[in-house]
Amino acid sequence: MRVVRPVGEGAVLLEWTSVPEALAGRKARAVAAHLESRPPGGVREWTLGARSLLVVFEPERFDEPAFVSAAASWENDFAAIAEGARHEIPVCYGGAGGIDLEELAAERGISPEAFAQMHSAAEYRVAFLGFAPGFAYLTGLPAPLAAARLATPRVHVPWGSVAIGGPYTGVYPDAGPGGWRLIGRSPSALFDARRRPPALLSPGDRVRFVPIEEWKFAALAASRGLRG
Amino acid sequence: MRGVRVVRPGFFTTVQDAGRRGASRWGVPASGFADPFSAAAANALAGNAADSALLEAALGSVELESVGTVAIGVAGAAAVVAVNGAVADRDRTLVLRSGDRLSIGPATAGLRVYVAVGGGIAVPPVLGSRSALAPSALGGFAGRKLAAGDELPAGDAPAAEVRSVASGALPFDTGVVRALAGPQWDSFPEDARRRFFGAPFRVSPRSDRRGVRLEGDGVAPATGEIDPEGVVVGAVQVPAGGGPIVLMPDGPVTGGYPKIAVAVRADLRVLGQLRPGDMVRFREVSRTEALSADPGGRPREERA
Repeated sequence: MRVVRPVGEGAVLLEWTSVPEALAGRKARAVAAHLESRPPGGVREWTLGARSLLVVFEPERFDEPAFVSAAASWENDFAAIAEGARHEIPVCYGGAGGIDLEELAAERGISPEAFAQMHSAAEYRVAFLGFAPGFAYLTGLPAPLAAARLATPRVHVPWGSVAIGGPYTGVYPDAGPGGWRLIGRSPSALFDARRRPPALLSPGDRVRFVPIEEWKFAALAASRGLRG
Repeated sequence: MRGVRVVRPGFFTTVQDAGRRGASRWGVPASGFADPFSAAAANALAGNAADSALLEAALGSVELESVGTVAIGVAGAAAVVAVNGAVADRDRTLVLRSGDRLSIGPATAGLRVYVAVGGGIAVPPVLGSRSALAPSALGGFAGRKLAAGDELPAGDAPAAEVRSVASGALPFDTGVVRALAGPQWDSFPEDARRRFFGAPFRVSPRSDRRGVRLEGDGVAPATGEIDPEGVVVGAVQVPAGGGPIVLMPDGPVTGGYPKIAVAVRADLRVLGQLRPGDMVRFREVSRTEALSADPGGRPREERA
């Protein structure tokens, strides 16, 4: 079931509400792939969501009814979706970079090591990006690890923090405020405006987290010219 | 270098242009002019295209020194403009010789003063735009707000010529933003929907280029959060624990709060000029009205 909602006079949201989130995400990526390869006149921007695609346009140049009906067939064209890249992202679990790990593990009656082991055993998929440049929402978090966001976000979350927010996991590319629960830290460069594409992770990519020791995190961070 | 040197940077002055396109897929906000109308007026005075990079100064209080001969256009919030201490006519191009001082007083109505330099501010584009995204230290001048001593190069420009622009007085005193019902309108309680349009809201001092935060009762949040989805500038989000937030150009590209309304594009200029303490109301319009909404006319250029 696809819902079409206007968002102001210059944008439309296609939302797949009654299918599993993974399928909704594929449908949204399929429509986005068509927008990418043959953009209809007047399209300014498109943004993927958890189970939706927002299309921003110039009202005077965009044929919205034609787009909406074309999208009905595009959404099932999964062959149009590019095969996602595979990434291995090193992460140092716990310690100073994962200040919530012990609490989250205790809440679940498991050891911090078991929590980290479950987190690094799963394969994740990039659903969409948002919140900040290069910040990817990863799906595939084992259900027992899901954790509510903090009611009041922290003012300062260090760069590289690996975190859990509701049903998602992700990595903070840069330091800044954030309300997700912090379980570790990665030395990977998630965003670099000089790189093409600037974000390491794109929708549809697959991600595995590889546990590393603290000394290795420090060495890899230093090789990027960064301090913890 | 031909351009301007910053003597006093003001409170929060950044380089902005029409913003980034196609970067939201990487989680990068569009950024760009908070008040596109005033930016276009400043650029017209300086002889630039409407989307050229210029300086956006929140609350004014900026002093610049000319390096070489430059044409300057000033528009936006009300503030006294002086060249070498003598009050200048803001509705005309100001031609500065090398070493001349342009000073802009504190903004007395409206929030953002736009200062355009003939040829545009020629900082290197990042991801297709010269706009600063200060929270991410990206674009603009070294990714940050300006500081004393910064030297901003101007692009090539024909010899400065004096223009006058009938920019139309900005409706700073109206405080009305036209808006359409938002994508989650139906999920708000009925009394919240009834009160949202027309209720007065006060602009919080915590507002910035990411969002205009509003205070005032009258909008109970919708039930819970939604699956994160793409958002647009001008969308009015209502978080569970606080007042509405109107998304501005540096705001995130996706959001998980229900949106009760979306401001019409023509009135982004009004949102971009709201200052802490100002009162604002939202007026519901139809899609047809939104499509024909007039931002107050294009700045009209006249050769003086």
